[in-house]
Amino acid sequence: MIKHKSLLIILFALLFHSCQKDDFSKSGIINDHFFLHSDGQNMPVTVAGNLDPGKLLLIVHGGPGGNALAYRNKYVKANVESEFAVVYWYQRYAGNSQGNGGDTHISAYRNDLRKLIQLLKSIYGADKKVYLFAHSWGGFLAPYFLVHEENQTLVDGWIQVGGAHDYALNDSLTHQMLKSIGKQEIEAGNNLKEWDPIVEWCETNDHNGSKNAAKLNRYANFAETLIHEIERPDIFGSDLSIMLANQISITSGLANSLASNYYDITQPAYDVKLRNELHIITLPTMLLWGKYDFVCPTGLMDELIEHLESTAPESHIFEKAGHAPMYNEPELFWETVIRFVTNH
Amino acid sequence: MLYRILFFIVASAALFVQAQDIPPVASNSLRISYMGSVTYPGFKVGYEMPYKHTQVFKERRTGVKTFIKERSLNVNFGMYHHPTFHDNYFLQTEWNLRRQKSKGMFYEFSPGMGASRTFLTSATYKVDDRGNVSKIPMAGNYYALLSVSGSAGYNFTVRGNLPGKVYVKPGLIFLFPYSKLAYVRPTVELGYSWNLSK
Repeated sequence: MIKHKSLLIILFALLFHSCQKDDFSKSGIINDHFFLHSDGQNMPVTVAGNLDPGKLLLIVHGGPGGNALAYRNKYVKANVESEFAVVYWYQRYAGNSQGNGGDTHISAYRNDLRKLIQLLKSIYGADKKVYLFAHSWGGFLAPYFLVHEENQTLVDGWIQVGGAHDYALNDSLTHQMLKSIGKQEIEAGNNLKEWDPIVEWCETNDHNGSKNAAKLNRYANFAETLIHEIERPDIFGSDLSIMLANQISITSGLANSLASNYYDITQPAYDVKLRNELHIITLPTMLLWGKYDFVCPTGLMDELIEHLESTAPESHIFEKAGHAPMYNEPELFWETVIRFVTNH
Repeated sequence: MLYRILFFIVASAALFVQAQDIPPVASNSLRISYMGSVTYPGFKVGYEMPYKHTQVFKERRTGVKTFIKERSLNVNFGMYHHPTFHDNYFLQTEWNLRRQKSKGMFYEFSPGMGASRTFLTSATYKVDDRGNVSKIPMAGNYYALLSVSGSAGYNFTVRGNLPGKVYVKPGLIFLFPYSKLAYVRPTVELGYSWNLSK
């Protein structure tokens, strides 16, 4: 019996033993995975690509509750990760991030981002340059982070892609764009059945309040599917195949997405007026927008250009793109990003 | 990891299977199963203790149909491994509601509850307010666990040729509080249950 017990203990020990890599390479091609623990949440971080140029492109994903590894499609793996390392960070209450709880306020997201950059510099070397690549909700988080205290000294560049730096302005611009393009489409006789209720709703409702904001966001995403000018190359595989390839727990993503909505994480963002503080930012900045971005219309880019005088930001509008130009015009989009990171 | 789990299941079975006898239909038993979730492996071992056994006769046009209603409690230990996410080890009790058909097939419904501890599958770091980085050993979380599953299987003891049952058992595991709400994980078990006593 003692022999049996010993054998069982050995079997359990074998099972419990797991290798946790913490001797990270500081050069060459890397594919690392680790977690950042911060305020009740354990957030997965994947760092993949070429570390030799000493540059890290840190993706600040959309959402809240979005999917960091959704950006890691075949095109990015082959063409972007070969140029420099890309950091795919799941924010709190997103994807495979896990924990019993933790603060849901936007300031907690800002603290996480600072801690992540400090962690990256600790692992890969303080000499590594970090570029924020902020998309959609991430486009609120990035400037919210950059204007706070000395945070911008931690990064070397900022790429804003269809970002929502001003939630109230964002809703009013979406409302306006849905109404004006909707009317044009109706006049042209395009998709009348779909556009009629959108335009009618916009004419009888304003953009104020969380219910209207949610409705506008749904309409904005739907409206993009009605625009024939937007390119939709089918070269990446489905979201599901990307999730399985990257071993993302689909149900964790759903739980976190549900939590993000339930706790209405974006609500405090309506009270933050970043436009008054944008002049603080002195980093090299690039603004990338899809012409048909109903979710975060190009008016947001115009406002950034107006208030980021000191950085003289580069800006590009992708003519055949909506809210996600990285999917609509991948070659042109990523060439632009690579050029910016290489030059700064 | 998959090989480790399979090795564990086979080796554990060998420890217990030697004291077998031809058992009655309801008996204490050892359950061992592969418990996977899509492509992610895991296992579950448990001890089943039957406490109620009722034979039911139902009149049908074709004659009298008989089956046995069995009630039992399981105590289980299990784990699954999900790379880039976590390893989860759990202790669980299940209430088994089984309907044993006269020809050997059986069906079960099993609600359960327990506790689990996850271990993050990669190195985990924290950063203090001064920017100092430190590694967290054995990082992970404790969760309360609820489960529900249904299973179908075949009881070899009904025909008296083998002392046990095989079963397939799809189910759901709920962990909470997970991100202030709950995490749901679909699972499928493929298992064998050895009868241990008369």
